[in-house]
Amino acid sequence: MTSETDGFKSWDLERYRTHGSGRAVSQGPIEPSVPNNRRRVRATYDLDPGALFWTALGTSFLSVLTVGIYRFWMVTRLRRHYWGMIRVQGDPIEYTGTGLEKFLGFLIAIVILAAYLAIANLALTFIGLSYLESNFELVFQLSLISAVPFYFWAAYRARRYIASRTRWRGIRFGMDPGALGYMVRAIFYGVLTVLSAGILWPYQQFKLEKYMVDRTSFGDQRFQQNGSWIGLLGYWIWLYIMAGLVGLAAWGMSMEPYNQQNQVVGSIVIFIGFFAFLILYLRYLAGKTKYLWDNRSVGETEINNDVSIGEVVRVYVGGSFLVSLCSALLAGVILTAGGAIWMSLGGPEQIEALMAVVAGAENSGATDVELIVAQLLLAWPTLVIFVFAYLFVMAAGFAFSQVFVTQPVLRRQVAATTIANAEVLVRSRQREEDRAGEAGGFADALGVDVGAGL
Amino acid sequence: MSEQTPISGIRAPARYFDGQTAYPKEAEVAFGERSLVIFGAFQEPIDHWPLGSLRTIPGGSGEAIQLTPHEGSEARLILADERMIRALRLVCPDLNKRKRNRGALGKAMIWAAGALGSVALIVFVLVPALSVQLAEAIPLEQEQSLGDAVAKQLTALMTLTGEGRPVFCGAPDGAAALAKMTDRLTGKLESPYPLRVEVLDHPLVNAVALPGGRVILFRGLIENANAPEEVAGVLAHEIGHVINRDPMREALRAAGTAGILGLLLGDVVGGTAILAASEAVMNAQYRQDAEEKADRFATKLLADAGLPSTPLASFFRSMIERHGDVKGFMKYISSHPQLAERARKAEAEDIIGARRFEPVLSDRGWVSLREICAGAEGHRDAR
Repeated sequence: MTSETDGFKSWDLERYRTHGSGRAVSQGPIEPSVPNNRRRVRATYDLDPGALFWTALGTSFLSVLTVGIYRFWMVTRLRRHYWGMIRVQGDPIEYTGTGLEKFLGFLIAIVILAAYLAIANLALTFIGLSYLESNFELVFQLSLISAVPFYFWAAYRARRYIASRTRWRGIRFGMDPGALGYMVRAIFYGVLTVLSAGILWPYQQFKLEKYMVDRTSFGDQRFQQNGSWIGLLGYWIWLYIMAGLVGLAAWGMSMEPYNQQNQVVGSIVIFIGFFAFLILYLRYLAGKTKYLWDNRSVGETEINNDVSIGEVVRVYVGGSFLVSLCSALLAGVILTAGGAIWMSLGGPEQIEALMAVVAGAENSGATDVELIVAQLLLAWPTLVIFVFAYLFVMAAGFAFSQVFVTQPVLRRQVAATTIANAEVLVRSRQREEDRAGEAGGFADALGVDVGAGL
Repeated sequence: MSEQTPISGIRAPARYFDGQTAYPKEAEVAFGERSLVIFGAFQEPIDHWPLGSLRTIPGGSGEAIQLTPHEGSEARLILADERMIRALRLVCPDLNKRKRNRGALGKAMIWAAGALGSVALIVFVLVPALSVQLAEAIPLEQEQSLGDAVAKQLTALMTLTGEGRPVFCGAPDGAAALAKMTDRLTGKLESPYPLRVEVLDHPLVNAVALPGGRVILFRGLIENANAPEEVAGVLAHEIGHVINRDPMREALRAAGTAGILGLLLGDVVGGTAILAASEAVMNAQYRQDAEEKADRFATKLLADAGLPSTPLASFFRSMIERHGDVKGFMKYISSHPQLAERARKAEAEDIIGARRFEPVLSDRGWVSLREICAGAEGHRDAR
């Protein structure tokens, strides 16, 4: 009765559905024994662009209207959507975070960060002003970097929060504490990157990702990041080769400033080089994600990824183009509609009245400030229409970017993920709850990109 | 659906997870007494989930639903059978209900108020207080070289308006008149550091105090003044900033509050505009406060030197005539208080009034001061 021919149970949802007969399809028990053939399971991503678009549009518009307060609920709802669409062996991933805990965590974080920034900036400025011989510009720029250590600390804490709120088959993911170690390493690798003129950037990224992944678990089974940073260098080095070519063209132009033909050719090379640079950077990002996911394991389970990097870059570029196009079209439609409403509200008469006020003001010698106030008072319907249109287009642009960029890229990356020896995952036991009380609030306050696509 | 099986008779396949391991159990579910009964592979009942607390896990594509016996439970059931799902929705109206965290909104509001209050305390009380303390502790030479650096930047900025880099004026007679005026004002004053008063060859009607006791009057200010006492009034105001160490305090305060407001908004759309506006309001409150103090100091300094402060008031009035006063919303974002109010106060605090007083400069001295930028070569920067 079962469709398996090779002893492997593909967790197909169809098997859990009855079709008219009313009789359940009977199934035998699953053997937890590990089959010898290391058959691969492919993760799947269910597509529902409509639901995603309306969720993203509604929540981002609310976020804009509430001066950003709603953004914690927005992020939570979007994560819930994305997580639920990813299925491994037919069972969806689950996101259990809440907007409220994120908001409260953010409130804690801003108080701590405000106190820290105030003290650290004052101390740095005071020391700089007291002991630096000159170069006071530098002193005031010191305050810009005082939050940098926190930035790394926050990135780890945010990842830990996300892991603790992720489940599969009811079993939690989780991360060990280690934000401080992450911060120290990030600063050390950061210095190496700067000293090496950026060549060691992939080294920094690989090492830091490995630090996080090696501390992540699914239940009681630990993730491990294998491979080495050389795998990323292969994508990164192309940016340097391209920079060298562009540099060479610029050098050639400067050598013969009077040679018209050289100037034209050089300009074209630099122009193309700029776009090639962007594409190569996107290629690096896609390649990095692929390499990292291609060399991971959980317990005795191996994870691989065979996504086409070219396709990810194409989807990203094409999607971004679509987002701009749709946003521009929407802006046009809304401004036209807004203009019509404005006309019907008596816009032209207002302009006339405004002109009269301006003329009167000039005669009476009124000041610039009074003129501005008069203009604002008379033009408020225009202002309201414009502000709403702007906010709405921004919110819609965000929703478009989720549907045209984030989701298609994620879908390809998920669908390219294969899991070898997945059967042993069933041995994973539940882990203890990790409160992670500040709920990524530090990352939200500092604007750290936690790499969850949001 | 053509099926007429009563709800109680539905049996559907499902996948059961006990919340302890990731091991999937093939199961069948059916309705029991006010509960959902989960049967194992040998038809043995594994679990009873009360229908009243049964909940779905939000998210997912909707093809299959994930059930949990109650919120907070770790057990899961994955169910794809359409009839069973429909039946469950029918019997459990609360299936999609989320626990409304009672008073969650109130809690969030209280926390938000607490957090905003703490941040306000830091920005408006802690940092200014610390700035006052720290400003006193910075070595004099350091403060003076900072003042020089700022002066250099100031003149460099003025180059942008087109007329080339302005120079400091140094006609000997004018300089002597300026020194006389400064001495008259600071006669009995104990200054934390030596004052250095200079005139910059620039048409702006303004004056600034820099860290380290440096005061710069612009040529435009002297040319537009109707009497030497007006210049003396403005100078007294700037000396007030010097004595209060305002430039240093302001520099420290600005550094201490940098980036804090940015934490609140993150990358919200329009956040930058809101941020700029709130920073302008915050800074304006401080500057206005400092200006008022300097004004009060100036009227006292003038009185001590036996000079009236009404000329300062008329200078403010002439500024109103030239540029208008700050009004309406601008009151909150302007760095200076309303001019009319400042003029009124300066007049009210004048203790000399219409009585006779010894002019701050002789007619000849006043002419020399007005010509301080004429003739003799200026210098770009003193040090």
